Amino acid sequence: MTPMVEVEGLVRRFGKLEAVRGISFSIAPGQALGFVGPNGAGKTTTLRTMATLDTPTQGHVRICGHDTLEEPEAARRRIGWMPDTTGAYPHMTASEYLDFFARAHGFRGEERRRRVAEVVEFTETGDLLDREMKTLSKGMGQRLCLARALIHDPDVLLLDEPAAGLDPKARVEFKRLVRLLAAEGKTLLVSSHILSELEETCDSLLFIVEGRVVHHGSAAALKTATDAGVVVAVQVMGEPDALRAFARSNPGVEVMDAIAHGLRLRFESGEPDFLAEMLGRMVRDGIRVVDFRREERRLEDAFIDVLRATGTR
Amino acid sequence: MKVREASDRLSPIIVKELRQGVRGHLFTGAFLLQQLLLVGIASLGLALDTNPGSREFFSFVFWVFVTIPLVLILPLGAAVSISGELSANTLEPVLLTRLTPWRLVAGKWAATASQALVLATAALPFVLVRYYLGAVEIVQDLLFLGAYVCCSLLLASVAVAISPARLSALFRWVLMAVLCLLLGVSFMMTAGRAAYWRVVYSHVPGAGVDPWAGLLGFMAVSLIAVLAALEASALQVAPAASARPLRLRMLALLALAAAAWIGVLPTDEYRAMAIVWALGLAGAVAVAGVCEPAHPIRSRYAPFFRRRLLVPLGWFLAPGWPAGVGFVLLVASLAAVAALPFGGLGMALLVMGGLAGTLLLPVVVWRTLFRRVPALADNPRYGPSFPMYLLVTLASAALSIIAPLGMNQASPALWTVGCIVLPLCPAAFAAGRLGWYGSYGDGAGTTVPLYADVIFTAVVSAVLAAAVWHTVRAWREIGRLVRQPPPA
Repeated sequence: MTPMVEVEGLVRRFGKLEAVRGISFSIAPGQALGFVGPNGAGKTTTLRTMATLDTPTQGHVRICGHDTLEEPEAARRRIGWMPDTTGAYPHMTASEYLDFFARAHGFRGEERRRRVAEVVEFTETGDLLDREMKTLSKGMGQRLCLARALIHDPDVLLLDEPAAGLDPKARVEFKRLVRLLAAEGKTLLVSSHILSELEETCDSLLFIVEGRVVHHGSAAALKTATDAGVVVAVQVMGEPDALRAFARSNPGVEVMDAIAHGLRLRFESGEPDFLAEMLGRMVRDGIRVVDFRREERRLEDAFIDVLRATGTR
Repeated sequence: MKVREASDRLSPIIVKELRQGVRGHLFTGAFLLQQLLLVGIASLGLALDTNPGSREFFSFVFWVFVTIPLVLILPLGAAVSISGELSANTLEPVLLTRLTPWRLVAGKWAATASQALVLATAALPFVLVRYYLGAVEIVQDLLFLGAYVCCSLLLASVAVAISPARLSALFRWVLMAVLCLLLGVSFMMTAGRAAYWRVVYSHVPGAGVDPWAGLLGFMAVSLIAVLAALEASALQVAPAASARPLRLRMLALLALAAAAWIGVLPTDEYRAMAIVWALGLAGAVAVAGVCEPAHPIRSRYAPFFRRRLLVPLGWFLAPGWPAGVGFVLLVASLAAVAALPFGGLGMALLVMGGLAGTLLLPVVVWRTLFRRVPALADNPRYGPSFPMYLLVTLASAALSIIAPLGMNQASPALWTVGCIVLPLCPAAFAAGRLGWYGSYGDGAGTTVPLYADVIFTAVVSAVLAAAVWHTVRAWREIGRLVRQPPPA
């Protein structure tokens, strides 16, 4: 099957800074790819280059078979682009905003009104239509922005941090829309920092660090590939300082992060004997353990492992 | 066609801009302020209109109130029309629609033009009031109003052209105010004077030659300038893969052709300003050309390599600084040809050497020196950036200012230094040799020595040779790029 998106050896330099260093990947029709990386990894640069808004220093991007440098206009018609910041026209209502983009995509008369009605129905933005854009919340703005990106029924959707800054309810809503789009056969590239959401909505994940791909595959494959021990949530009576000291004095134990009344610890082995031995040592050291619970490995942990493996702080 | 579908005939960007403009504070404020002030001045005029002196004063104030929104407020608003979209991140989604960058900027300009027409139309009743009050020539007033509207359209196009540039707010306002002043005054001194001429002298037999041909020539150059400004704006807005300077350079050549036509007209009423504008436009386009990066994008150059006959056109019309160098050489050659009838071969060579030498000097300095410094030359395919170009040109121009100061001293040593330094700014030396801004004598009737001419010739020859050498190398690289098969 011909991929809808093909990126080959993409390099983008800004002066001496090499923001993207030879990224290659492809996305099959109807697939959703999560694009993950720390700040400054080159995600937005890659997305902008794919959207024909930036020029690669080397390499090629093809959208639905159209090279973005050879046939930029043809490629643009197949792309729905949602940048990381929702630009708003302060004196324009949501309805006028969608109407303008429908006109700009060449829809006229009845067809224009039908297209606007369709995307409004899909994104459930009907109640926003008469409101001025400056009065919309971040979540409402993101939904409207998605409606705008869908107005010309693109085959490929490039979503840059679509869930950033949204409250939990708006995130759930947005996740639902992304799933619906994938179910409709759209090809999606979603950049986000919220890894758990990408895990739920995307077929595969692409991790980039310092402009290079460090992992490309499913979330499960990533967890397995970077599996180094198990993570246990330990809660104690009082402050967890003694627990911290315990981790420092035992080479096979590492502090992941803090939780209420305790720490998340990574143990080098998940063997029951090893874990029982560790728990016994804690008790012998006078740590008053109230909860010792093995956790399922999270994508965030795998991501941090990937960063560590690449030497990124 | 139904009434509700009528807006389908308009450009989407005009519909959007008008919707926003009508609700925005700038246009509404300007409109209301103008109306209030005109009502006030008309009422005062009625109450105090007792003598010709006060009538003249009220006439002056009336025109100030009419023109400030037209030639200052609206163009200043247009100067932030695209930069505002850039900072609000609203432009990129628009660039991914079917709207071309040209339609985008033309729509912005047309929306400002529509607002200017609304303001001018709203001032018409007050023109009629002035007429009925007496002592006012209605045709003259209407022609003046028309000239101010044209001036507003011109300034709005220039504002749209500088709008995408990444400038600080203060610098943008100052630049726009200076441009409004320079272009507005020179436009009105020409077009406004024509309106006055038609009214005052049209009835006087033998008052002079008919100025219409020259005026039409000037208006043609103004129209070309408007189109070129919009094209320059579109070039800045367009993503690199879609940016093509072909039309901009064609417009500059058209302006030069218009200037040549105006130059041979029997009247000289409007000739000087039209020629100055055309040369200024061609110069600006040439500088923009040599500062344009030569992006290694095959599709940008491929059209010029499709047929053998098109290849020479690509040398000065293709994107990127190599064709920009070709364009400079073409403009300088055309200027030399134009100078031939006036001063013979010597003048032609001085004009060509002065123009090409000055315009290409920064390119040569950049390509030969700065590209060897990695911190300055981020990509060897690039020509100088505009700030770097400006820096080298200013350094060269500074020499042209310092050198004559030295040459005017009685000291033989300073005189010698001046004669050696001045040719490093070829345009200034050529202008001096042609006597365009005073003589380069030392005050005792001494003429410029032969060695100064030799230095000038050597500098210009070196600059031209180096520019051509770098350009030929760049074109070879472009040729290799184009001959590669397109990506499968």
